[in-house]
Amino acid sequence: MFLCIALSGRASAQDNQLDTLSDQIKTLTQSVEQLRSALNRQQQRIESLEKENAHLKDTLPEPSPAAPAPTTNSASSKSLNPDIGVVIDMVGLLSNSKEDEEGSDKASIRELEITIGHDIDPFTRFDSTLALSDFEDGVEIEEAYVTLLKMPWDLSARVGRIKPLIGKVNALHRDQLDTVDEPLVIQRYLGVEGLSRTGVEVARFLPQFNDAFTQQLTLGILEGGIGEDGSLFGDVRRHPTAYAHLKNFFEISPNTSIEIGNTFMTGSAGENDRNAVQAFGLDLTAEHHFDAIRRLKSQSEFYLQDRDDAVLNENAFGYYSLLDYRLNQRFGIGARYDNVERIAFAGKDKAVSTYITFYQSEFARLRIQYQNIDFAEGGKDNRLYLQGTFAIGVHKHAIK
Amino acid sequence: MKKPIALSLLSIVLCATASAAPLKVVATLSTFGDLVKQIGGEHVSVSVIAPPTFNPHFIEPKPSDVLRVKKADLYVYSGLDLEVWSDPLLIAAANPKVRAGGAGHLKLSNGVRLLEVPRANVTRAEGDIHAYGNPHFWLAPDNVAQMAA
Repeated sequence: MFLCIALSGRASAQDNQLDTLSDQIKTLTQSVEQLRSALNRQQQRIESLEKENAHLKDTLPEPSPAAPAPTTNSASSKSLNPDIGVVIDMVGLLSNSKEDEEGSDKASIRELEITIGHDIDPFTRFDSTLALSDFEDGVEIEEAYVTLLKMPWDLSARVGRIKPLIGKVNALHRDQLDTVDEPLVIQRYLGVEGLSRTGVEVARFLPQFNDAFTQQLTLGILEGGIGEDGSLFGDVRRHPTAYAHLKNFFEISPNTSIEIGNTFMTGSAGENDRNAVQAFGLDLTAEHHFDAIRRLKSQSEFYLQDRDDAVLNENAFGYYSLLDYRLNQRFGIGARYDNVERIAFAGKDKAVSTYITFYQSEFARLRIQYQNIDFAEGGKDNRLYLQGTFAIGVHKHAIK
Repeated sequence: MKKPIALSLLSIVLCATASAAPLKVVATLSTFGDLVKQIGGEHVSVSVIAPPTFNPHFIEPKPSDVLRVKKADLYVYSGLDLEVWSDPLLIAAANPKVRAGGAGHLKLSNGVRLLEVPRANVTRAEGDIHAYGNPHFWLAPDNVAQMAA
């Protein structure tokens, strides 16, 4: 009896299993049917789209050849527009000075520089740099010149307002400097931002006797005058300044080079002192690239004056020495020593500066610089600069 | 300048100077310099601006580079703003032969099918972007064959 009950129970369980399996099979069959139906619909859709595509191809015109990628030399109207770039130079300064002079203990837009340039025609090119500043009213023309490209005798020439190619630093714009400020010898002798005047400059490479040695001679004549707070020349514009610079470049290896430059300048000290001032300059630059990024640069400039006007120091001498090391893609460090005799004071300006530069990108840079300075007229100052330099647009510096 | 015209000119000049001094060619990158040397052989004298160990984006041309370009018969470069220092170099050299539009101005990106050409307005907010397309076309073996042809 128990066997019958057990057997009947087992049969019942098997029936349940069979029912469950049957239900599952039915469900699966339905799923397959649904999928088959969907597949058929998609296949019909594909066939319909293929027919439509074939019809469109028959009715469309032949495609024109792919236009070349737009380039700076394309004939489009946009390429006729000048290259425009903007560089902003922001400087914060903390110092011991209590004078409310430019920048002391505050932040400022020291300079907003707008560069505009383009080819005029196959023979000439125009470049300009306009500058605005928190400290100046109006717009200053820093540079505005025409480069003559087809000159005889392998000459090249610039005509207009230029930063003359004397020494190394004078021809540079502020965003190209390794330090926040210009070297003191440049500031004191040529002007706070160096010398920039209207004139004519002609340059020529000298015959080359060795592939590793290159010489370039530059001659120029400018309207008289000097940069802001400069003391080398007087302010008489109609007494011109003439200069010559001989660049001697030694390519020791693809990674190492030495440049030695000689400068001569002559100009007016004032209304009655035409050609009363001569200046002799020597610049020395050595560079070594350890790899694609790391670079060590040593640079010095020396200036000796020879004056016939009535000043305290007729043979004032000034120089700076800089050491700059690019550590990696992001950081650089350096130091500069300044020593400048002034024409109106018995003493010297002496300064030691150290700095760290952070390169956020090739268009944005931050720099912190500490400077300890002893003034020729007496007194000292400790200065902490924080500089931000940012560039937008097209900004290609001329090769100096 | 159209690449086929420039290459034809190169061929004509090479033939004309077959018994004369080699054609002076300045290439911006060593890859281009090697390509020119392979094609021109003894008929070309090639110098390169950017040493192979340097990043070609960040080259500071030297006075000797300016003089080489000044004396060059042919200037070969990538274009597409890979060499942003190229325009200032050409201006400083003031050699009309190799300036844009001159017979010796050869931009190798002409005629190459470019990748990653931006279709919308580009901005530096996107990081390091190339506004005219990927300028590293010369790394693709197929493109090198195209340039040589």
